[in-house]
Amino acid sequence: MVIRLLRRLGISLVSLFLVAVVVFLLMQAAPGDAAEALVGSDATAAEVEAARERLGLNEPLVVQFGNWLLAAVQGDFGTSLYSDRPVIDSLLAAAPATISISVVALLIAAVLGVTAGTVAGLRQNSWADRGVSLLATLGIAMPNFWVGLLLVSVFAFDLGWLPATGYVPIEQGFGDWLRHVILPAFALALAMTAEVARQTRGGVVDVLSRPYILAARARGASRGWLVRKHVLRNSAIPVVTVFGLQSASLLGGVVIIEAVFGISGLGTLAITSVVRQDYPVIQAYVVLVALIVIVINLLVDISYGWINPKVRS
Amino acid sequence: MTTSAASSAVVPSQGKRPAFRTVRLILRRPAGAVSFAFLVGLVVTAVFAPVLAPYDPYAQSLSEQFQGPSAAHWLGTDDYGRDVLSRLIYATRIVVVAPVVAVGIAVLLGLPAGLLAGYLRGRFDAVLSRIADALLSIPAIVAAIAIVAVLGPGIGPTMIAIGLVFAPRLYRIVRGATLTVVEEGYIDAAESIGCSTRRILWVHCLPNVLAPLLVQVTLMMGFALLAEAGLSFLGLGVQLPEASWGSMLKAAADQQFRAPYAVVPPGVCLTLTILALNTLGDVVRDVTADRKNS
Amino acid sequence: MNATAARHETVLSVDTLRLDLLGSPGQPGLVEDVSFQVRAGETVALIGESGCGKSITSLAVLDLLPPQVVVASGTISVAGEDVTAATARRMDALRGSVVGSVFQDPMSSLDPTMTVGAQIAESRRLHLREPRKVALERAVELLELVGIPNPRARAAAYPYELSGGMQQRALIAAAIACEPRLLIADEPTTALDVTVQAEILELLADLQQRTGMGMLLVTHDLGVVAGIADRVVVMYAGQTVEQAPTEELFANPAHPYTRALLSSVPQAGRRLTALPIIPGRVPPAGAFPAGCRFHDRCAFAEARCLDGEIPGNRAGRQSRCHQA
Repeated sequence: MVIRLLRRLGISLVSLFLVAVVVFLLMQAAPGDAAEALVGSDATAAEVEAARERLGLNEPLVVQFGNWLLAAVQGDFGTSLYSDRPVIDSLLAAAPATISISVVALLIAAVLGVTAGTVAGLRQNSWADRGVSLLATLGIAMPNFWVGLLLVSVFAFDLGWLPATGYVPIEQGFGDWLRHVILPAFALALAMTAEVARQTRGGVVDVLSRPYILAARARGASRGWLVRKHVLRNSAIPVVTVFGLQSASLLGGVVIIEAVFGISGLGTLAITSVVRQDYPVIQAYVVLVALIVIVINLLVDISYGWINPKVRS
Repeated sequence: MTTSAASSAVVPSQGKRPAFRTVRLILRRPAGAVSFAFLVGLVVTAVFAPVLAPYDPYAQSLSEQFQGPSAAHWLGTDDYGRDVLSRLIYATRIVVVAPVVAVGIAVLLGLPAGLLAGYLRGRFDAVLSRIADALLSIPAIVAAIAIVAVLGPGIGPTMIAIGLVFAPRLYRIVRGATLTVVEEGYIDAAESIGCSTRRILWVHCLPNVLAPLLVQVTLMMGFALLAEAGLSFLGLGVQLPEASWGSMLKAAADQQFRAPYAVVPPGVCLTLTILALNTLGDVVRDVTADRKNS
Repeated sequence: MNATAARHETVLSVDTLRLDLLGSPGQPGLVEDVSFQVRAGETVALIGESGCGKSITSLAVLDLLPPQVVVASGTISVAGEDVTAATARRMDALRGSVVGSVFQDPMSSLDPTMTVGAQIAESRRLHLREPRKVALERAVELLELVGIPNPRARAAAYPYELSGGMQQRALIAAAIACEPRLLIADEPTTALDVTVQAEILELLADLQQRTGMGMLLVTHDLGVVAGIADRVVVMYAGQTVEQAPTEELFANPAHPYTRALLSSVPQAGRRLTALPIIPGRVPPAGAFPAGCRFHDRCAFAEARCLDGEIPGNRAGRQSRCHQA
């Protein structure tokens, strides 16, 4: 178990390192010069050269990357070319909004997806099953930002129940925070909910056909007991897998959802940085998102062992 | 005796006929036929857009802003008084071209790499697969944004970005399929009679990875369309006033407080197209799986 | 209740049972005109080739038929209670408490994500409402009872950590956890190594003796029957063709199918020659021939065997054959 974990951790670190390398090389291909951008267009050649020296841009690429990595590990992702602020400060300022939407969306997807999938799987070919199937197919096909726009049209502009845009930090009141977070979270969660529901249904149908379910029923297990003690846990592995895969695309989707709802989170920061050609911010952002995805995958992998004791050995 | 042994060891025959049969099997299923017809309709619309569109998609008429559906403008007008239906029709050109180019780039990179890795295995495969796995931990949209940041906004860079992002995904599928083929043994037979690596890859491996490749390509078209729309919505892809369903959604979103339901038509088009591609992908998967089992 | 009364009490009675496959109207039933009884303290073997309807009959007793199979007519009563008329809730209460069951493949009959002890404790928690800790403690005792060494450690183990024989012992422990009046063992040794098979049968026989429960042993293996069954019910193509006390059946089989079945089993003391085999194969459900269902494979078939129902109950001997 410990060895498996260490091995898995090692692979994760290698992945993260490779991501950092690729993103670093990609940013090298970007047009423009960081030094010029920093000192401004009316600076003299000498000033630019001084800036180059200060930023370490005259060093070989390997050294530059090493310096970046060394600093990054300590939480220093360099300085924004646009605002002169440390990149990490901009990221940390934008993170809470993104985290709020993503976490609420994950919760919605988990609760709604697993419930709908379980109901559909238990009542195979019933109306409920067909309904869930249809909704799941639609949910996967509808672009999340369009769903967001529709939600805004209905709940904000037409009914006026919820705010159309903006984000309120949770410290300023849970209710207000939730009112701002709920629509984007729902729009973001839809596709993932659909995938989780599909996978859960498939898992439940598969598990129900297993002999140990018959054996448990022969012991007198009622429907509720069967679901709680046997079905859910055994059908969890494919569900957890899809959960890991989908959380990656959810972290991508949140970028567009932030734009729909005018929320200044990490995605918005990334987009404005693209427009401003603020490469250090983009670089840090991509590596950070990859780090989160890698950690999620690691957790998913660990959970396999928890779900199925055989994996532990 | 020798002939039968050889023919059973060589690749199961893959002429043009099985390809036609696959298409027939796909069309025989209602879901397959409907999605296929829808997509063909899209291509036709794109080709004949100038004939089909009732108005010039770029003709502005500020006196006719935000009109609802009417006999003159079936789907109403947008923020500059342009005919929404005409813009939707012209946008199909992006819809048809962008995913094909993007997925084409992914195939161009992912297919040879996947074939080679699956066939050669060893260190080449290990290194490539490790890198592909690492890249896959960057969400598609995020990776595309990073690439667009370097290439600059626009529909061209967007397609390249999406293609680059999908390449490792395609690589994984092709590599996996090639590995199974190699392990089935007839590649050994081809090697033993002295086939060159190139011949083994193109004549023996490729036909056997076509089925999973086809499924993946169909599904990827949907993702590519979604990614294009998303990036255009963010203002990184298709630039206004050029019409793409994504850029139209962005225009509608910017004026949402004035015309809340202008977001409906482009979204419906997007959803239906993605639905058709997903459904077709599922049908192709079922059909090819059935054929393999039979 | 005194001992003699308990001895003679009928714990399972299947009467003219017919099972139909939904969506195939007009077809003969999967199972037709099946009648037999199991009394307390008695082991009855239900024997036949695969596809003869013996397993589906035992599932009908538990009211655990697959959704496409229904009881068309006849009755099944377990300890005096009509199973075919019982509510789902009532059946949950009967299964595991009044009827225990053991199935064929022990590995797949155990939930891989749950400890062995927890699965044994399950029926005590469900039926006797025992708290988890108490039920787990009882599970350890049960594991000891079925002859598993170091039961406390085994109770905490997961199924994959046990051998096939141990797994089946654990499942037997789970089946008898609430001291059922009837135990249904459906091919309990088929998936096991030959050496382990004998141990499991011995265990079943021993438990049956000690508890005085009735046991229905579903099997295709005559060797299994000879050792522990008091009576044998032979099934062929969805019908019971013969039933008799074990010794009588072995000594003097009445039905040609039973005779053919017996002669295809190697026996100690007999000279080793080529074993006779029954020509042809068991007809699949839905393609049962008219008349005697065995007539096309029977060496003694005559004109009257080809049509008409052949009654299974005759004076003296229960054999579904015109000649015996």
